[in-house]
Amino acid sequence: MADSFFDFHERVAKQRASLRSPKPATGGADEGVEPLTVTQLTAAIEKAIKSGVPGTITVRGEVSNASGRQASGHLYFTLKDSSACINCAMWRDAASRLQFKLEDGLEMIATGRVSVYAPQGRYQLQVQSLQPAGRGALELAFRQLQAKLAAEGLFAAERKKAIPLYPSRIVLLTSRATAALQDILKVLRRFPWIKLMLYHVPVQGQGSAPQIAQAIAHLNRHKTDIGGVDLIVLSRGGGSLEDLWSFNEEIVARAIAASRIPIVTGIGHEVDCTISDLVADYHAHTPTEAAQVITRNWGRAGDALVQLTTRLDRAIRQNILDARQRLTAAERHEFLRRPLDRIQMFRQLLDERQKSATLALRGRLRNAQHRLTAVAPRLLIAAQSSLKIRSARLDAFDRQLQALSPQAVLNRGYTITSIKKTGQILRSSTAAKIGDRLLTRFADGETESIVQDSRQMSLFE
Amino acid sequence: MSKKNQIAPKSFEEALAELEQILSKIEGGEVGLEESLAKYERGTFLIRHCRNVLGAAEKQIEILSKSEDGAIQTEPMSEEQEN
Repeated sequence: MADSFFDFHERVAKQRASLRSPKPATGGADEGVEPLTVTQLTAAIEKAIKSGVPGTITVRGEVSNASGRQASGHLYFTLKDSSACINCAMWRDAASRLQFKLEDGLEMIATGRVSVYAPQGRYQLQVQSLQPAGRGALELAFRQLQAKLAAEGLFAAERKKAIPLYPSRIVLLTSRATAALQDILKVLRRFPWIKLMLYHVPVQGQGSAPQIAQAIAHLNRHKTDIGGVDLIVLSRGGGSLEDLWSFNEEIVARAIAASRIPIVTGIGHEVDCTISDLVADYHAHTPTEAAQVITRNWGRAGDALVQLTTRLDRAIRQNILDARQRLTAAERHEFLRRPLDRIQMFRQLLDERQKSATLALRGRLRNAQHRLTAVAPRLLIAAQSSLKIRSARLDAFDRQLQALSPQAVLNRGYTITSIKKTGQILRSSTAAKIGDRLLTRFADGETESIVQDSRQMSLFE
Repeated sequence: MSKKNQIAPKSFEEALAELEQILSKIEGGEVGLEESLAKYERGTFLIRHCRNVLGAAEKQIEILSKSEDGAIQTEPMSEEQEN
């Protein structure tokens, strides 16, 4: 238990006493142990850091907890690697020099010094400059802005305005001093009827971007005051990425996007492509190309006019020729020469119509007749066959009837007797009284007789 | 020539568009002789107008700048500035 807290405390006190002064501290006779104030401790830590860490250091790490610019203009973030992290602060001046936006996940090389922030008992890296690891700061800034504006749809083809075919009032938005202006004027000199206006703006350096943006807005506001503007050509000669940087600034990009006047860009050399180029309504690769593109149709206008004149002359000549031919044809027309013929013709036409109508009617009648004739024999046959069937059935009935007829019975030798007076047929011997005259019918005739006697036959006799 | 036939179009582009329209009407035989003659007259006026445009020599470049009151002001560019 040699290292108990109290042992430790004592040992430290002794060391401190020997460090400070050979004299014992006031108040404590032998012990000389006086607690440090927090401020003293913090000061000691700060001193230790300053002696142990170089004044200016560069450190590489990944950004996290990036705060974005504070109202104060300061920037706070954390640099970290897989096993450690350090708080970072970037004061307003340094932060305002950053061209890109500090985002979490970016690998950065920070330059600064380590300081202790006593009020919160923290040490932190005070960053003087930040450099993206592996690529340039401007490149990073470009990519960030490009991604942002692309997401907003500012580069979309459908929001680009049409470039007038024959721009006759053009504003050159560039610096009076730039080679770009001379390049453009050289091309445009061949089209002296184009009204050229130069709006001078600085095209590089601090403050250039806001001035370009303001000029675009100014032109849009006041275009009618100067007789209208068909087109703005925004241009600058070649230069380094830094030289062209104004054209990669968001403020310029937004001014171009907001412009109601179409904008053609011609910035730098062929290989350069700025954010302004991406937002512009037409992106020419150089100032010269911009001038060529906007005058493309003007260059052919003279030829076009010659062609139009020829076409117009030919067309009107043809029209006159046609009219003359129509007139001649009309003069030769029969109607003009013999109007009565025409009426006769109509009459004839009418007659023919009537005739054909009658014919048609007659045809229909005949047709009906034909159909009737075709049907009649079939009707007859059907009727005949039906008769035959019926007469056969009648014969059969006749035979049956004959079989039942009393004549047939008479033929077989039977007779029918009836009382002559009443005609009543005698079915019983009791029905005839003595003296009744009877008629007996045979198959071939009748005899008359008188009843003389009457007896009833007994069955059991 | 009627007055209506002498009104200048707003721009070169419009003049060409109108010329095309006139030509398609006359060439297509859509219009009668009298109307086509009127259109021909208008067409020749437009062509003359366009030739005049191409013949005009502006040459003078104007310098635009923001005036103190925020409006736009123009001044001619001097020869030295141009070259």
